[in-house]
Amino acid sequence: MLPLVAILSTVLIGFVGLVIDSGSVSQSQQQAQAAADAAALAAFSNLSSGGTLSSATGFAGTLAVANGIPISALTVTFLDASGAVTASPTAVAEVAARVAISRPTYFLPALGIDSVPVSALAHAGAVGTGPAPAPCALCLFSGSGTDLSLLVSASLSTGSPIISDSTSARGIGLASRASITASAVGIAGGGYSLGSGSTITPTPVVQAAVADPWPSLAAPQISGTAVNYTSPSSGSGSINPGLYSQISVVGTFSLNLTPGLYVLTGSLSTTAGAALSGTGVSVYLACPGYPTACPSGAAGGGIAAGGSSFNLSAPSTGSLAGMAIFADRGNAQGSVISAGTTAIGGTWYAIGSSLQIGTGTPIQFDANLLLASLHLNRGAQLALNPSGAGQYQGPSASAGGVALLP
Amino acid sequence: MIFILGVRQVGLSFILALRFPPSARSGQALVEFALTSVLLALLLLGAVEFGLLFADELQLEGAVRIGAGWAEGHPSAWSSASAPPSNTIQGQVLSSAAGLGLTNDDTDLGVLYYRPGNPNPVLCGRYSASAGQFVPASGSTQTSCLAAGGLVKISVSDPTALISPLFRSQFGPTVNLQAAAAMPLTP
Repeated sequence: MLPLVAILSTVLIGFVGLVIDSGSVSQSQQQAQAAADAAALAAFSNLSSGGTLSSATGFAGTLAVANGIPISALTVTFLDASGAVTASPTAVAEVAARVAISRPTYFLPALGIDSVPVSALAHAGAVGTGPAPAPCALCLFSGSGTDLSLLVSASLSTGSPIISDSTSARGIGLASRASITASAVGIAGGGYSLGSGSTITPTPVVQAAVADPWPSLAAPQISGTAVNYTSPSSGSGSINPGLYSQISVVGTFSLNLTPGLYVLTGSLSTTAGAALSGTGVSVYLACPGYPTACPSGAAGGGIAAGGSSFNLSAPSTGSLAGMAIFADRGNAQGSVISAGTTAIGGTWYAIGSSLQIGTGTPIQFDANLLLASLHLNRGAQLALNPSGAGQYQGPSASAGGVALLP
Repeated sequence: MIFILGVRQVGLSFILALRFPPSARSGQALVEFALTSVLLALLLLGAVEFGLLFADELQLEGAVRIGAGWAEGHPSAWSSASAPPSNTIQGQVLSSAAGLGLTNDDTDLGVLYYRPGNPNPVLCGRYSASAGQFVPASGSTQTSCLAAGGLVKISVSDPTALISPLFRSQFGPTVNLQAAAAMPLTP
């Protein structure tokens, strides 16, 4: 037995070593990509402020160091509109920053591999100008900062336009191997950054900032005392529309929301193993002071879908026809979707708060999203397929579609 | 070394097989199993423990990158609330690190502002959740620290619990995972 154990142990130790070393290399890859992203943006923003190639390179180096990467590992290249290397600051259309480091290994030296090369590439540049791609499947209203970010290998696809209101140097940021596919991508005067192997199709263009398309849409009014609902840990059941301070679905419970309006002043959450479904349902995310409107930036109701399934579809009739999720414009409480199976049928209108898509199975929204910002975690996959009839048509149903103002 | 030990054991097993009856040999196998299973269990525990730690570390790296990206365009969007809203730097980081137990305090989450320096960036100031305000370094002001041309760095420190009693006894109940990311402050 011992000889067999000796041989197999060697193999097992090798695999354990491989796990640890590959995890460590993966972490270095993330660090290198963060440094490359920051360095490319720093160089381009420095040039945009009237800097020289030397000052831009210096600022890029500062950002590399701040991200834990030595300056010697950074290479900054300035490219003109044709993609050729240029030495003229005014001709620079794009900055490429490459980080190349060597990561020492812990176990692989036993196989003669003392270190593994790790590299990352990032581009930063100004977007071109183009026609207004509206209406949008995804409209982001934060106005500045990175309001659309995709971490490693995340993907976002839609057959409709995407518009970011951000005016910062990186309105849209993609980590390595992430991808965005849309019919058009517009950024309001800002820029974008791409990690190694990441793509945005088509290339973003400058797009006038979109305004709140439904400023006159008032908060739905219902009365009563807020109910704090927590499900049993197993079985199934349903609850009726009304005012809730919290809806929490736990254990393996399967909760059905009967058709109607649910006003939430706290969280709507499902934990692992739990399921939530509802057809003909609208959820309004308010603040604890409801019916008083949320103060700007308040933390009110939010969605934390982490269970086995989360399926909601909006009503097809009534004043909120097509509206699945509607948040008070001052409510900045973010929502997180990381359920095993998720399907949202209807518009998600929460222009004051963010939505985060966790790593998991592919998620499809048959709706348009109007948010402050959207973030896709590592490996997340989101498909947006807004159908004209299935989304909110505006306070005046005769408007004939979502009209986003340029 | 293990292989050589194994060859020696082959010889030992052969001699034992000649000298001892089958019942004694099955006892020997039991002892060998007990000895080797300890090693295998240790390896398995180590792999699981490291795997979980790496998963948490990667999530933290993602969280600080999202936070730094947000801070780039919203350099003064701070919150000292325990559940900060998503339009703040702290809200972006904590929602991205959901499930890791990060709290919005100066120990777990740092929002630091630097000006370029040679060779290293120079700390200009930081946001303090305990003080509920920006705390500039000596000779600096909030305005000068947040001006374009500087950089913002988001750092997190997350005490992560170890799951196996063996590693807990050796390394303590938690290990401190850390991550940081910096972005330029743009005009």
